[in-house]
Amino acid sequence: MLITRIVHATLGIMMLASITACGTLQTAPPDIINRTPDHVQASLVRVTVTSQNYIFHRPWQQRPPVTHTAIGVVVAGGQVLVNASIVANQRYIELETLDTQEKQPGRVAVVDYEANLALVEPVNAAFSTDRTPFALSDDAGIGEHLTVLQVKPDGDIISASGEITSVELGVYSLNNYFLTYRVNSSLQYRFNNQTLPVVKADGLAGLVLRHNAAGQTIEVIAAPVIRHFLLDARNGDYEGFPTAGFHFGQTLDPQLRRYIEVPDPIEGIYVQKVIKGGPADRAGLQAGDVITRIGAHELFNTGQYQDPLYGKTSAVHLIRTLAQVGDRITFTVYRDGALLPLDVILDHRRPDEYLVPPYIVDQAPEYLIVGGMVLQELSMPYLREYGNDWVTDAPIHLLYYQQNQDYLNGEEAREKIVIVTEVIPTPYTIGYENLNNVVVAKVNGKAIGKLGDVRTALASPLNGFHKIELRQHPRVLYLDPKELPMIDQIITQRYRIPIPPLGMDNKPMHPDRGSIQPDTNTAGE
Amino acid sequence: MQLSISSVLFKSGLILLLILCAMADVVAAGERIDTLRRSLVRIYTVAQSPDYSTPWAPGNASEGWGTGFVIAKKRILTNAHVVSNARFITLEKEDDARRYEARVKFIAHDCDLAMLEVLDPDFFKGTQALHLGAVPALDSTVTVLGYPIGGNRLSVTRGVVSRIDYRGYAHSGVDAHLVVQIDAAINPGNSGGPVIQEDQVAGVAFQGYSGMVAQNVGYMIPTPVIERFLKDVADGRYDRYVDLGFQHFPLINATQRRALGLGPGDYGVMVGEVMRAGAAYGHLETGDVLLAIDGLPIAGDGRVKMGNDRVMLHEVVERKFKGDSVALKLQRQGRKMTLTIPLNTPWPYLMQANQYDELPRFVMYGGIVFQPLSSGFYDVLPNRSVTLRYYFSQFLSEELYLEHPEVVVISKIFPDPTTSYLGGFTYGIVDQVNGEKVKVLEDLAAAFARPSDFYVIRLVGDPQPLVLEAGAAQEASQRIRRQYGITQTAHLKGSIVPPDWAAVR
Repeated sequence: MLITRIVHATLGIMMLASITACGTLQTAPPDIINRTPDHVQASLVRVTVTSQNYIFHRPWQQRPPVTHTAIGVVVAGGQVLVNASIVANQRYIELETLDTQEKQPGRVAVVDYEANLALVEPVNAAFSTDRTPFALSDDAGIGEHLTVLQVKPDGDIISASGEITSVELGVYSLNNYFLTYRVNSSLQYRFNNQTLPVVKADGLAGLVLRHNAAGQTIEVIAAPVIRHFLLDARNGDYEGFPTAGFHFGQTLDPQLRRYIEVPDPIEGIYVQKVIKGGPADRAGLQAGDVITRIGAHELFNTGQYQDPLYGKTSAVHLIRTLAQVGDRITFTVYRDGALLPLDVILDHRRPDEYLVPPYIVDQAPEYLIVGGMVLQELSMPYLREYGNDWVTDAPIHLLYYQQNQDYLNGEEAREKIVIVTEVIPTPYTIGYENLNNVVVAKVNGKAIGKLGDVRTALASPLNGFHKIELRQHPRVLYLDPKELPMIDQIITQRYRIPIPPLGMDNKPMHPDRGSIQPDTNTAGE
Repeated sequence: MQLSISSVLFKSGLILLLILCAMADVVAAGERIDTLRRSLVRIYTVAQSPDYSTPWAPGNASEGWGTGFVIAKKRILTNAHVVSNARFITLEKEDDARRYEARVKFIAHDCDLAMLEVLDPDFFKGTQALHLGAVPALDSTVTVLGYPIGGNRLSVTRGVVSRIDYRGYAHSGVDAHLVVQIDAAINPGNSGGPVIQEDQVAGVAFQGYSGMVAQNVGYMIPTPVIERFLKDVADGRYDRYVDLGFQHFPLINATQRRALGLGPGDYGVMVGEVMRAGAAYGHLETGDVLLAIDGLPIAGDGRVKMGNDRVMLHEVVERKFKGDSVALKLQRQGRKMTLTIPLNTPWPYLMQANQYDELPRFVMYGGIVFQPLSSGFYDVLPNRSVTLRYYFSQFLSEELYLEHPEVVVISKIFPDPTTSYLGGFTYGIVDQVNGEKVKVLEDLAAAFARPSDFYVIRLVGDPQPLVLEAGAAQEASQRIRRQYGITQTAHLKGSIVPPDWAAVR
């Protein structure tokens, strides 16, 4: 228990140190206990973001621009903390002070779409340097009161208070679970703000993650997650939230415990699957191991540890939030009747390291058009294009690949799943129009493990034709290399669809243009 | 009670209609009907369909009415769906108040036809057998007879032949055969009734569209399908349709034709997916070009000319029987060759087909019920995980039957002290028990029969083992059976998996 507090205290000190190091001339907030509303107002900034998402089913096209506003929090260094969802695929950011209504363009300094946090900074630093930054509050526990700050269009602040009814890991975006405060309160005003600060006393306790008006609950990104993010952001290159790379289950069932011969005093979690090449794999963790301790924290059979403030809390929190990328953590493992220490060096798993990337933001979807066939790598944003009911409406084989990507047979040694998403009808593609969502296995005899492989393989036609082998019916299709320029011309002229060059370079056409929102519904809608 | 008939007749949005016509318009026709009505039979069926969510239970009984007709040799034809899962059948005929008990003699669920026999030989007194005619021509007039909703007496409708095509048969859900579309009004209850042209049977009315979807679209089973059924059962049993077990890809793309070494013109289809459980496997290869089937040239869209019609090349195979072969002329990598392929029934289709007249297979052990994935089981699932949907819908196309010819699912876990922590395993697919692959339900039953301290069940895609302690589980089995009124712990009859596929290879 003590250990956790020490870790937190250390993080706090490091933050202060980094603030000084930034040389922002920032005086530390003298007394934030009784900050007046004016001070609060001076430390908040309205952030207006216009963003444009890509359409993954038509990867050459963007949706119409949409504009959202957020109430950002000035933190050390004059940067403004907001939810990441608002800056996803941003095209223009404008900051506005609440007290003086001064406006200035901003830019994204650091963004994390997994933890849904971003730092925005004004183009001209003077805009916010003399504004008092919010410091993070102490971590809040169950029963404490938090205040959500809303801002009226004229800049006045309205606050809503509520009690924390639970603290546990909740979904931030797809498959990303982080500490969440659940506050029982309602937000009276609907200003469509995608970020709202949550304060405790005069410190920042969190940001609203989502708001359930019917249930009068507000889910809040908890201070420890923000603390992790800010610390990482201040320490040079942003590295993200770490993972250890394994799946685990509970060891509650006595039948299971007797079978794996874990005596009753031993409590821990059952390792189901170790992701190949991940941190746990490198440390020697094996499926079937029982992890009894992570660092100094003893684990229960439920997969939780005893947190001094929140009570029983998922062990995921220990790895993803209380540790940083590069930290060495000792897992105590029960294997073959003995306890064994394994040092795991945590790492971040980037979205492009997944077989099916969970998100693709701030960059255009990569695609190729070869003889009218549109080729893309399967990704979550592609599946989500099937609408609100994508879980039922998206093609089932693609959903299955996405859901089971860590368990699919590994013998194919592919980095990505390349699919023909559609065939653009031209006189040359008659008879191919109905093809969609079929997996490309080989091109010209070469195995396809990523989109770039297609470019390479197209350099060497077989017997004068490009042979496209598919995993599904009709299994094989041919294209005439000599006809490709004619097909491309029809597509660019009749359909006005740009064709990415088939050269050997792998760069997408618009490297810094982006795609899709992480899975979050924020407050105030 | 009529409603229960319509539920029988409505499958996948298709309505089965019984046709009764108001024949008052033409006097001469009235005489004709006086003869025809002596062939008509009204069928009353009490069916009991299994409840896949409680596979040991007797199932739900329901009543239904349909139509049938007498053909030569004192046989009665109707639709399979009129008498599927029947426990009790009676027949009524025109001008006779008595009801005669009947039995199903042969039933063909893949082409929705059944033959009935009557226990009392007196039934046929005064009846007149109908003869089968030819496939009617487009735009010719047909008359439909039957007992649809809206009254109890014979109904007659008339229409023209609108289309002759190859279409899905709703009763099995996976079969497609020749159908004739007519525009005569068809309503639930007409199923199994004859469609008459020139006093001969042109087909059996069997399905249609709901009025919500389309107007005046009714379908009949044409005589080639009926004749095939009669010929198949001539040896005393019904053997199902046979197939080549591959998918063809039309060759209407000029580039594809050139790459495959074909000249311009309208001929040939490419072999696409070749099913490993199909007859063509080992004979045909992806990329082969089929040029002719049994001497009939194949056009680029996969059609062949039979008689006056252009029909899909499957039609050639459709008219064959178990044990028959088909001759294919093809071109492989520029070389022409001829192959003779013995036909079979590709069994993996049956997993997705609606099953009738079979009780659900299951095994219960230690409070856990295991059932193979099937159409009936899939239909009653309260929620369908991505994995279950994938295994059901992609069973053929992703060749999932190679590893799991039968997809054994944990369908229910009865609450009991031994199952307190097992709830999360519900709807998982069993991969192994104690390290042995479970390919079919029998493997699972055999694994539980082998003495062991633990039974460790590994599920597909979920590496947490489900562990049962043998002693505790056996005790629990007895307790749970008593507590939940489970009359039977296993039913293993009626597997669709052929023995050579069920064996571990």
